[in-house]
Amino acid sequence: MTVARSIVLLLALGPFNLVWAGDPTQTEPFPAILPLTKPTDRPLGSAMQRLYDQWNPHEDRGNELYSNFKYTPLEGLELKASISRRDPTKVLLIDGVYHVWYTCRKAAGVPAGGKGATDTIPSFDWDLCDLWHAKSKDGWTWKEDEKPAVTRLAKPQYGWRSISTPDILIWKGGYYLYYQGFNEIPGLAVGDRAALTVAQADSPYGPWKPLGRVVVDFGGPDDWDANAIHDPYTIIYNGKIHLYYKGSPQKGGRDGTIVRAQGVAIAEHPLGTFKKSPLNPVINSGHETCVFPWKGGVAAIVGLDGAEKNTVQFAPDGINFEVKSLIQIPPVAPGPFVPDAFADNSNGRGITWGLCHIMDKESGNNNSILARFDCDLSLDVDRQYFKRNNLRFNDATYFQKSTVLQGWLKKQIAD
Amino acid sequence: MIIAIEFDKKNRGASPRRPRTTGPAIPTLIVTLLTTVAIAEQKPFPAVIPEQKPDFPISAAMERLYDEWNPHEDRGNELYSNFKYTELKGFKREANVSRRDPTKVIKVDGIYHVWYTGRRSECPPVGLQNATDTKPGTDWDLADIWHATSKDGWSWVEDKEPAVRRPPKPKPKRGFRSICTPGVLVWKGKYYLYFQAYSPMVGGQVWCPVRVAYADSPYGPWAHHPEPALVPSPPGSWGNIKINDPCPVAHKGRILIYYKGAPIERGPEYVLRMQGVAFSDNPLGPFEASKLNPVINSGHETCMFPFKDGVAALVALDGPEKNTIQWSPDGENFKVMSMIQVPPVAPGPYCPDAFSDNGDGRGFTWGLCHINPDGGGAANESILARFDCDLSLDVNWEIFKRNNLRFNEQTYFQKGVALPPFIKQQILREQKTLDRETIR
Repeated sequence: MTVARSIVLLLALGPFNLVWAGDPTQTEPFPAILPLTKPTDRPLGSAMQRLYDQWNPHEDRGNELYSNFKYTPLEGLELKASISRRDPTKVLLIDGVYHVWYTCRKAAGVPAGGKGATDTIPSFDWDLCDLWHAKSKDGWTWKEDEKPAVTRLAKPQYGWRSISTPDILIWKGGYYLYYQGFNEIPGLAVGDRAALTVAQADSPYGPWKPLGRVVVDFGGPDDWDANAIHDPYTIIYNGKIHLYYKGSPQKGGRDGTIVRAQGVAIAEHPLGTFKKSPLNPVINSGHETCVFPWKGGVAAIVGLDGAEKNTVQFAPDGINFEVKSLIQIPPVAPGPFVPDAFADNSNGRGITWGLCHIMDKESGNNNSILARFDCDLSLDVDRQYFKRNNLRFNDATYFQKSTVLQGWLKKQIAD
Repeated sequence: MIIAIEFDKKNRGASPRRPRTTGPAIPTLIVTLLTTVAIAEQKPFPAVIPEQKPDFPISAAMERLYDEWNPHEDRGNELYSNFKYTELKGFKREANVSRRDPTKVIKVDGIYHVWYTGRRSECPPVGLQNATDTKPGTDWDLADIWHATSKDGWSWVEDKEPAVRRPPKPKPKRGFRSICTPGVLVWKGKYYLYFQAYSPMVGGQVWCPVRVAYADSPYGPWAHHPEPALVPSPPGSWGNIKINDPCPVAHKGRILIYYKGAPIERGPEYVLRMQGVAFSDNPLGPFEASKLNPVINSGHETCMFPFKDGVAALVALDGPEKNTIQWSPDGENFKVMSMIQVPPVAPGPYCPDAFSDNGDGRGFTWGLCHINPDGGGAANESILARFDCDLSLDVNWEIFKRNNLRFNEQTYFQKGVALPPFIKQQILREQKTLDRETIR
């Protein structure tokens, strides 16, 4: 707005200001049609101030960074008792074929916790895993390879116990899979102690060469990311590889510690050196990482945990994130289809779909399945259906294991 | 305290910190240089969360952790909770019998009381177009206000007859078609039920005031007051067609009735629904609407309760601040205090001090809500359910302060959360042009 126009506007609004300041009883009720700019001719409560200052007058329906998420089971990767698939990477589209990699555990018994695990029995769903690859012609039906894309190296090499939670990067024609490497049984000693390593290939079909060493390591013993560098997620931004990760001291919040937060490490080469941002953590909430280029900055889906759980956020500099919307039932561990993740063109267009995982806790097997989510967090489509609110659930949702009042708790409350 | 001492010890002799504040008089270049130097030498953020906002550079997200939330996130937040649900005993689930929109639960002489919208009709809702004198258009059509009692809050006994019946037809604007969505007030020893009054028909395009009935006892009998308590706002304003979900609390000597308002006009450029408040020192009115209305920019059903010396609100389902707990010192200026998940729909908490106006609101630990078993809203019968939580200053139930709530497959693939076929068709059409090759 030019200075001249501002002055004209101020002059125009001035008399109205005087009217309500001088005689508040003459204030008309707030109009049915939403003023497009913040009204200055009437008093506003904090909530209506926020509607203009933080949100926008047309709420979620006028917000490019708001969406619902709608889910579809995948064909070809159905749930089986002995197989778990989780934590998909971003989806790529290379020469007309969609590609995804993920944590996969096959035929290794039922997860038995840190103390119950053996050489062949996993502790958690992500123990004794390898990285598998599946491809698709349409994004709905998937075909898994016969063998893992990346197999654990033999003990005592890096990640011998389990490798999990990958993400994919393409850098100067080369393919890089970043993933967690476990050198001990997850959950046995210090929580889920794993840092990040990488494997490289010339093609999405492999073969993959594991680097065999850490590329992003734990912080110091008293640092926020002392015992977990999890959920790597890479984009190219400002000419450099930005690897976002979940860090944690792995003490579950004991002794006044951070439970988990998200940071970023930046490198000029896929094999490192990765330098952690001095402003880490850059996201104060969330569980799995999920970012994508958005206009000239970086957007993030922040799910599940923390004060800002279930939000979409945006950082104009990839570092300083602000909450842009509040979302519901977001995908867990989303791996969106982000065609411009590596474009670094300051014109991020957003996402409309991806894969995520669902853990079938009710089965007792602790297996996860991959599923597809669709959404409208994209500048290229305008799908009103995804901008709606008022999402309601059936009775089975409220009375499932995680939301029903369990018997022991009811007893405690009733007593 | 021990944690704080240890932290101070650790930071003794730490690297130079950025100056706490940088006034506008300092040239930007120098500030940038100072900041850059400080960042380069800075230690990583510690594992033990500082109790006070650190004086070294932190990201916008970490600034917010201190400025807007608190260092221990939800687990350190009295106004954060999960909600856990229990099916109620005593309410028989029958075809064409619907119970929804419970009032706050009150406890009088050792007995819990609740009132709610009750529909007993000859058939399921048939939609507004097909509704007749005996066929309901929506779930809350052809409804009366019913009452149930409980000795323990888990098992309930419904009265044989409605507590408040629809007034007879000749009275044009008194709600002969349906009365629903009640809120209860206890004021100076008397009982008041506020409710939506629909006539001649229900629906979003029908003028809907809030009317009130009163009684000397929670067992009734209830008398209709001839005048409406709240009426929609004037034409052109935000709440010009309906005033829904009356929710009374007592605060600073006055009765505050919160309500959901909406205009008759529909479209993306209009207010869809927001919440306002009106004040009176007489339960039968007149009520004066706040000049700051709407005071809540989001939410569906209202749920306000005294908290400390102010008023808190559970804001669910709709708007940019859906699924939040908010608080205001004055009942009019609300701030977001926490972000919640799978909150109760149309909650009626057990809130013993809702009307005590003692400047020391303690919050609540349970209440009743409604669930539409098929996940819809208007076209089937609803059930009442109990929720438990910790939004109370009097308990400290850590399990309710947790995060990381996960859902089973059934949740993701239920109607309304699963991708519907017609949207899938649209996506398949758009996919060929939308799904570009990965740029590499």
